This record gives sequence, C-alpha cells and structure tokens, in this order.
Amino acid sequence: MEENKTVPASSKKEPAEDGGVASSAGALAVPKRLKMVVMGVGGAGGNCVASLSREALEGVGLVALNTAVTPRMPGSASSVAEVQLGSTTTRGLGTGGDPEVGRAAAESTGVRLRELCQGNDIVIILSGMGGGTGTGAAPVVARVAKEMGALVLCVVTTPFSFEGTRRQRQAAWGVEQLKAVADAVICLPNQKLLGLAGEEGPVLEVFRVINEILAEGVRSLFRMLTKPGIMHVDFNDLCSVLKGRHAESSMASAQAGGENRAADIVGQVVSSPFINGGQALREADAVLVSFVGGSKLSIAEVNRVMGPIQEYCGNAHVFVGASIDPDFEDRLAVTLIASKGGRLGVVLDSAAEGAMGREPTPGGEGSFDVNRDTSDRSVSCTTPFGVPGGGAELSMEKRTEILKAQEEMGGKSMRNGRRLRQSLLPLEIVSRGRFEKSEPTLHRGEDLDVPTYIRRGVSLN
Amino acid sequence: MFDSNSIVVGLEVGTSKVCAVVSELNESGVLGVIGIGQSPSRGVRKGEIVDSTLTSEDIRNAIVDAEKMADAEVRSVFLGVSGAHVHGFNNRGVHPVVSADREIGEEDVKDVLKNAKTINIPSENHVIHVIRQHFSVDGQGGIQNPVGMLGARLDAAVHVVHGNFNRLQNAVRVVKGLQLEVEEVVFTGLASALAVLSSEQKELGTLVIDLGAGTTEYVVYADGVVRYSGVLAIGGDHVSNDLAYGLKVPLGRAEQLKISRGSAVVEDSLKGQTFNLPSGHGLPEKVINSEHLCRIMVMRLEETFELIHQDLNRSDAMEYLRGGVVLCGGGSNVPEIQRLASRVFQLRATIGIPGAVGGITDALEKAEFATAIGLVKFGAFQHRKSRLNQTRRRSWKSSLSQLFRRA
Repeated sequence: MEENKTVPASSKKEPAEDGGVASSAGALAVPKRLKMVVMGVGGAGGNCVASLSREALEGVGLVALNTAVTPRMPGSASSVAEVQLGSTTTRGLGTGGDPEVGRAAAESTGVRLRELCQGNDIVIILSGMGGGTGTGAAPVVARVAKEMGALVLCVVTTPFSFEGTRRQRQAAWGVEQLKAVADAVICLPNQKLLGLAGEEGPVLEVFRVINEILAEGVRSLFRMLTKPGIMHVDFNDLCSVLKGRHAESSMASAQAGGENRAADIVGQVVSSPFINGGQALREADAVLVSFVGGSKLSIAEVNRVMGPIQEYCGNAHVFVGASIDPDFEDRLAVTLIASKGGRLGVVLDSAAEGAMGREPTPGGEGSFDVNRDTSDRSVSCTTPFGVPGGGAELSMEKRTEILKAQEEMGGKSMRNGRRLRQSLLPLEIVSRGRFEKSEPTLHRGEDLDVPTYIRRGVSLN
Repeated sequence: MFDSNSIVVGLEVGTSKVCAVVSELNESGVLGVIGIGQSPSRGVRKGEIVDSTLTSEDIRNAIVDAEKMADAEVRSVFLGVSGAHVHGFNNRGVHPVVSADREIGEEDVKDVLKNAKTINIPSENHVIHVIRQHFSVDGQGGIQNPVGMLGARLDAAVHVVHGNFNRLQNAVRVVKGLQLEVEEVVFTGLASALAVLSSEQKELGTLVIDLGAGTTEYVVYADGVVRYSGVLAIGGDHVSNDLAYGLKVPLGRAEQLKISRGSAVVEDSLKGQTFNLPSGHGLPEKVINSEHLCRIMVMRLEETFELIHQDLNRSDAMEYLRGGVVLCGGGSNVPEIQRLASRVFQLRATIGIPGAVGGITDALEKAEFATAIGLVKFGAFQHRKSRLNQTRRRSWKSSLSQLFRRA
C-alpha cells in the first residue's frame, strides 16, 4: 500500500530536510499533559497523515516519513512535518518495494527519529504494510519510539488481494515485526475497506475514503485516550485489548445524532465491513467500546448501545469507556475495537517478549531497560530481514525459541502445544459437509452449521 | 354419505421424510386415521425444498402409499411448512365501537382482527396464520368472546405467523404439480403442538419443541392460546454432520451411529470407552470413542435448547411455562433427551405422543408423526367448521384461532 495516490505535482513542494521540524512534532501538549505524535510511514502513511491534518487534533504532532521525495499532498496542512528517511541510502528514490531497503533507510535516519519521538508519551504509527518503506521502516520507527520511552500504537493496513501474494507475505511479516516491538497493533485489511468505499468508485475516491476511515479511527482513538471520561479508557485498557492477539483487529467508528442515535450507531457499527454483520464481534475475545458524547450523554444511552453489542460478543472481554466532549452537543460517537484471539499469536508474542527480556509495561518508562532491549531486539526483529519473501514464516531463531519455551513449560506445555496446532485449524476451512450448498444458519453472527464443539473450542483427544 | 370432504389428508414435506396421513372424518365429527404413506426425502434441506424434481417424486411415493393403504383417493392436502424464514410474533389490534348502543357485534370483531393483521412485516412476506389470543373491552382483559358485550373500545391480541411468500409457494407449487389441491398451508410447529398437547397442557402453559431433521420448531401455548412460536434451522442433520466431521466417518455412517449409539447425556461410564466400527465398502475398520460421540451430540443438542431458551427468555414466554416442555419429532428418540431438556429449561420435560386420533393408532404413536397427525387434526377442525358453517349458511371465513383454543 505504498504510494497509493496519484498526486498532482504541487508547487508547495518542500525540501525534506532533516532538522527544524522536531519542535512542531514534539513540543505540543494535549490536555492531561499527554504528548502525542502521529507518524505516517511510507506513502500510505503519509497520505493518511495528510488527510488527518485536514481536521487537526489539538496538540498532536503530525509527521510524514518517507523514503521517496514526493510532492506534498494536496490539502495537507503545513502542520505536517515531512521527513525523508535514508537520504543517503535511497537518495530520495524510494525503496522499490524492498523492505530491506526501507529498514536500512530508517536505521540510517535513527538520530532524527529519536529527535521526533523525544518527549512524547504516545506515538501512533500509521502505515501501509506490504511495500518497502511501510513494511521495512515502520518496525524501526516503532522500536525507536519505544526506546525513547513512548507507548507505541500502530494502525496499519494490509494490501488489497489484487496486489499479489508477495506483498501479502511481506505485509504479514511486517505486522509480525511491529507486534514484536509496538505496544499495540491494529491491522486493517484494505480488501475489507474496499467494501466500505465501494469498488466501482474512482481510485482516488476509494483511497480518499480509506484514508478518511483510518484518520477517523485515529481521531477517535485520540478522543478516547485524552478526553476526560465518566468511564475513562486509558492506554492500558487499549493494550489489553490488542496485546497478544491475532494480528487482525477490527475497528469501527460510528457517529450519529438525533433521537435514535443509539440505534443508529448500533446499526452503523454492525454493518461496518470489519464487523461483518457481527461476525467479528462473535469471534472476538476482547472488545473495547468507547463513547464520546456531549455533556448530556447518559448511562442509559451507553446501555442502549451496549445491550445489542454485548449480545453479539457473548464470550469476549468487553471494555467500555465513555467521555465527554462539549463540542459534541447531541452527537454521539462510538469507537469499537475488536481483537480476535489467535492462539498462535499469543505463543509468538510471548516468545518475542521472552526475547526482549520482559513485557514492556505501558506507562512505566522509568523501568524501561533500553540497553538490554535494543541488544535483544536487534536479534528478534532486525536480523531476519534477509528473507522478507518468506515473510509470514518464522525465522529459525524464533522457531527454536518457541520450541524451547514450550519444553520449559512442562505440564502446561502439552496444552499450549496442542493449542498451537489447533490455532492452525481455521486456515483449513471447516467443511460445511451436508450444508455446503444451503444457506448458512446464522445466529447473531455465528454460523450454526459449523459443529458446536468446534465453535466452543472443545478439543477431542 | 361419503363425500370427498370427509377425507382429510395431512402432508408433511420434511427434511428426512415425506409423510402423508389420510384420515376420515365421519358424520359425528370423529377423526380416524385410515392410511399412512412415507418416503425418504431427498430434495429438502433445513425444511426447505432445494430440489423440486426429487421432492415431487418423494411426495408422489408417499401419497401413493397412503392411498393404497387407505383405499381412498387423495385430492387435497393440508401442507405443513417450515424453514428459517418462518417467524411468529404477537400483535394487537384496536377498534372503536361505533354503534349507537355500544354493543359489540360480529362486524366489530372482524374489524379488530383485520386491524391486528395489518402489521409491519416485509413486503415479500406472507401471513400464514393469525391466531386470536384474547380480547379486551375498554381495557378489561381476558375476554374470549366479546360479541354481545358493551364497550367503546375493542382490543384484540393475536399471534401472527408469517414467512417468505416465494419460499412458501415453492412447496405449494410442487404439491400442485402433482394435481393435488392445497387446502391450506400450516406451520408445522403449530401442527405438532396440536397433535401432542392435551387441553390441560395448553391451559397450563407448555413449550412444544419439534426436533426435526432440518429444522427445530418451538411453540408456546399458555391459557389455551399460542403465545410464542419460532423456528431454528438446526436439526438432526446438524448432529449427523457434526459427528461425521468430529469422528471422521462418512455422513451415512454418522447417521447410523447417531441412531444406534447416540445419547443426549454423557454418562460417566462412557469415559474412555471405544468400539469398533466394522469396515464396509472398502473403508478401513475404525475405532470410535463413545465418549466423543456422545459429547459431540450433547454439545449440539444442548446448544439448540439453549438458543430456544434464550429466545424465550427475551420475550418473557418462559414465565408462562408451568406445564413443562414436550418434545416431539425424530430428535426426541435420542435417549435421555428429556434429561437434557429439563436441565436446560429447568422444567419437567416429556416426550409427546400424538394422541386423540382414532384408527390405526399403534403405528402412529411415535413422536416423529406428530406433525403429520397435527396437520390432519388441523384439517379436521377446518372441515368441521366449514360443515358447521354450511349448515348455518354463513361464511366460514372467520379466524382459525377458535380452533386452536378449543383443541
């Protein structure tokens, strides 16, 4: 998802020069003294930041990082700081879709990245996975941000299916890398976004809508984390929803006003392509729902929205947050993040965390052991770059780490071992047998034709 | 006087079998079954026809069998319909009494029922039944028959069963293609309830669950009227399919295992028990774990009951159930299914045997014939009523509800 817009050349082209931009990114403070910066990495990330800049968030720094020197996005406000990655390695010519080049470029700009992250509490990284810059550089940016003591949240898109398997593999690999270093990764497949944007629309329009969705997602995350809340959602809540889960999270945000806003919002959320008529909620094992409303937001209203949503996600761990923004008046906005419980993901993460020595505690910058972390991370996430093509597969080191960890776990390892195998099951689609050709029996997003014991995760040994 | 009217035929086109029951309604209004015809059903999935050619053949076979046995000609049938598209809900109708003396007449009752029928259902849906529950006059509830009472405002509560028009027509067209008349389409859940419930059970409040092969219908009767009805497109086929998948045996084998070894409770004694599935048709001999077999079945059946329970809880229908749960349909042959049902619903559960019909009763006293018997009963009510109306020289086009109430 790199360079996803054909951009008319703009006369406002600004030389992407290192230095002199850090202040705009880092020095701004938001209420509650949280400092936040949004970094768009690669073409897609840059576009998204540009679309974010159109409705600026108070006190949030915006940075666009790219290897290619691209003309400034039309409509991109001057509040966006543009930084060229690897001016010496790529000479502003892009990466040619090679994550290795992207990584090298980001590494060579390490000092500059440190400056950008300096003093921020939260760094949000927006990027499109699959290309060179996004896939290669985003994990480096995340690592640097983490090293600088910030909490790192990544919102990334994965390629359209027409972009081919190689890009898909690179994307999957990039997401794995990000998950190893970032506190939270929200991964949104473009293919699903397409459903929202409408396939028949002009390309520019589709990308605009996609960028707008991502930007709206970031805005709502920002609101959720910073606005004073009646039921506050903090970064820890967000992390516990996203951490250690399958790479694919679903995010839906909805806004409505008027009499029936609660019902409207439930309708909008459920019909969102990510939620897929409630199926994503049904499959999710952690769901975070955050409300932002005017000063008249009532508990009853929260209840009216949560009632139907709860019914969909019967088994999931649900976090609810509500905050007040006087600007909202009678509008109500809901952001919903649902994470699937991929057990493979859990094992991978715990292995990666093991390699890092500890699980980074969100908010606990003081206890962050930078040296150890960097040295270990260089093993866990920078060395396997040689084989981005075989991306989704585990590197040999990781594989041995996982195996070792399982052996060490003793009694529990038997169960985990089986889980590891079981989690692969969804890859081979459960045959619908006799019901192959009939209309599926859906009940609240659950396909009842699939054997009950499989849906309930009961293992027969 | 043996006119064709006195032959009542119920035709159930089910997912596992097509069943036709021919009965005779004698002049004194006593119903006796004189013939049954059955045929395995091949063209139906989840209660809906997916292959009309096969289904047409199956229906013909069943009807021919029944005709032979009854030594009578079948001209028209009462057709049972089901499927996930069928829904039931309660509705109200209001009508102001405008006559000068404020006396409620037949016309007022007709109007209030008409109002109750005008409901908000999708345009492609068709109302199958409108069943009267009760009337209230000026807010005084629980009135069975308001004709002759005085009041300014008449309310009627009805239960409406509706389904997708095209899907209902599919079944009707197949039957009509065999030169048979369809006198009426009947929701199979209601038919089963008619067959298995006694009038005391209807008064007390009873849940009838028809565990079919493709669908599971449930109907709640309370105070003598239908309170709730619904369909789940889950059935015995799902159990077989789960077993086939879980035990890795062909579907036919799974079906046999379900019947021969299945249970709705996992007994402790089954832990670790295995048995050999003999080889046949070139398939290798297979060792099957009895516990797994039962567990897979229990999970599915339990879930089915739980889904019904949740649905009833949402509509407060559970509160009416003092008479317990009655199970019928092929699924009720699973050993210990009552125990499972009473555990889920926390109520007494029994197997319903279709009764109160004379004639060849022995063959019919099986829970899987509940629907077909119910259809015949339903048909008999209609015939009795039309006879009555003929003698009274009046249109018999009033609501069916009374039948259900007096049943």
